[in-house]
Amino acid sequence: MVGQLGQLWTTIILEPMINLLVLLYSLLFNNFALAIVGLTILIRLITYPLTRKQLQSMKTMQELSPKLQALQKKYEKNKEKLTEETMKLYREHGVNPAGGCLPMLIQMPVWIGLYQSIYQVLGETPEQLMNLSQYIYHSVPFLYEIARRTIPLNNRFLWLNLALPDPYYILPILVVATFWLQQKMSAVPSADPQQASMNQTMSIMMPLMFGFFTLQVSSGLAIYWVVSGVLGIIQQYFVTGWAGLRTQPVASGKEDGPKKKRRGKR
Amino acid sequence: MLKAKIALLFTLLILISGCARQAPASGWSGPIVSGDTLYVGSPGGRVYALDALTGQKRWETKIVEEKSTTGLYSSPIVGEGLVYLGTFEGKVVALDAEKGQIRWEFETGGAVVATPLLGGDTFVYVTSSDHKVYALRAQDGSKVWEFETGGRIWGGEALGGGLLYIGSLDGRLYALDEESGEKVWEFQAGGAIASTPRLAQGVLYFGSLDNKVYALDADSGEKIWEFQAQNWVWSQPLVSGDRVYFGSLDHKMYALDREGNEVWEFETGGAIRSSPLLAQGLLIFGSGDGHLYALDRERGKEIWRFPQEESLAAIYSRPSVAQETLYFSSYGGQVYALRIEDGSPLWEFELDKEG
Repeated sequence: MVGQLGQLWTTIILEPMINLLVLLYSLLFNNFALAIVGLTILIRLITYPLTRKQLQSMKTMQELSPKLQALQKKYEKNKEKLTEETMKLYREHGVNPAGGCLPMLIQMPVWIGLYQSIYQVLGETPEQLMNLSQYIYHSVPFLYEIARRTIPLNNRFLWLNLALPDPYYILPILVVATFWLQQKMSAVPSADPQQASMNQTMSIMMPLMFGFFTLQVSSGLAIYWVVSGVLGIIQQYFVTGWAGLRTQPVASGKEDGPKKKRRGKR
Repeated sequence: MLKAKIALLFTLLILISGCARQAPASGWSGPIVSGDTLYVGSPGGRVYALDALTGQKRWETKIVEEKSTTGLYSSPIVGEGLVYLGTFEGKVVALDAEKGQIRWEFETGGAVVATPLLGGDTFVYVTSSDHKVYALRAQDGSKVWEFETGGRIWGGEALGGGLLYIGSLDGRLYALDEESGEKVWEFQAGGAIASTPRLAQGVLYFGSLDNKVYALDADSGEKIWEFQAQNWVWSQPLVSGDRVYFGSLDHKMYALDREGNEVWEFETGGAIRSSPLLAQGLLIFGSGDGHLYALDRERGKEIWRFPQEESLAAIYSRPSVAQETLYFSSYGGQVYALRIEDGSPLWEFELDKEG
């Protein structure tokens, strides 16, 4: 069962992505960093309808926030009634509170696949290169042609060996910065002080944790995180603007700017 | 909701940290037998000397940095009382064959993946991921010459007629003067070359990542023929009588005639990087499916496989043979001794077990 799932994963996610990555490498001047950027953009475009849904649902939730807070005040003493009224409010505006999560859950395999394929194609060790041979579409003539001319891919880019961590710590800093900004933009003032402080902690912890990972993983993956983060920020900007940056994610109860959440990233 | 978010985030972090680890580099060093001693490199970066009859350990020496997590790809070679092999950290090391002390080390600028080659008792030739091939003095490791290609070199050398042949991941096969390291000719293949070439009766055979095996005139570098498999050919071809045998990452072992026509093929369940060897009329090789196969060399029919049931870890290195016994190691560092005629096990030894 697990083996079959793994095979299915390989066939429908990993193999197409790996071959696409090799194709992009050859189209984008035999530059692996550009290929990573290209594939990230491509996948952002393909998953855009889902992302838009997610962001819009988030925006509606944000817009409903003042009403929610009013409800919270009104039914402070009666939790059951509060839940009931909240659900009613959501229904009226056609919002499914879990709806923001669903598109994200659908996208997740795609992002994990992208991540794995970058790792796989880098092929720094003989084992990795050998594994790569099993994913290439040898029977598709033009892909075979590209693969035979380009593999092993050149993994140098500027000062980086894309298979190794950044020796100058520039990428970890960029990763922290993009993650922080994205968190910040999607952060929300919460009526619940406990949740607000949780949100606050998360918005600092998560960028730091990814920054920490970046110290250890191949810089190709770090480039993917940065590019993906920047694209996420751009998409978010078009839906919610910079609003999240101007408001402090603390318990206020006042009706200021955008509300509700959305967690970052893959 | 928030709890769910946090749980999801942590799942993600675990997933990411799980698949973001440094690439595996356990190596696939294979055994070699000299006299009554078997030498092999381990995933933990140690060289082992075992009693070939019983599998008892004689000595072990760690030849990589204390903190290193990379194993050895290079199989040992033995000559004049020394054991030579390269490390993924970039060194070539010569050890005393009797006691295991390190006699000399030579630092290249990149990972050494291939097995070194001895030129008589005088030279040891080494290829490296720093794009270079080095000729070192076998007794003290001093450099005689070096030659730089356009890419990493993961394959070993072939030597004959005063020429040293090496393939590079830059896709070219180079013929160098063995004394001076001057290039005599080069041949551009259709893909990177990771395979060690084989020289037989004036013809050079090697595989490439364009899925092909090439046969070149060893003097001039002119192509005589090429044969296309369905995936990369990383294994070193074996030439015997009128046959050329080689494995491909398309999971198959091929037998060609000397004109490059296919005689038979045999399909296994995994990629074949292991180079075959012939013993008692059997063609023996390992596969990524975790089996060692013995085929009838004429017809490509399976005579036996080891193990019969189940399977081991992948077998990527070349087996080795001495007297009536066959030796091989599986990925992760298990060494086996089998009887050649029926593949029945004699002993096994787990590398890196103690400390």
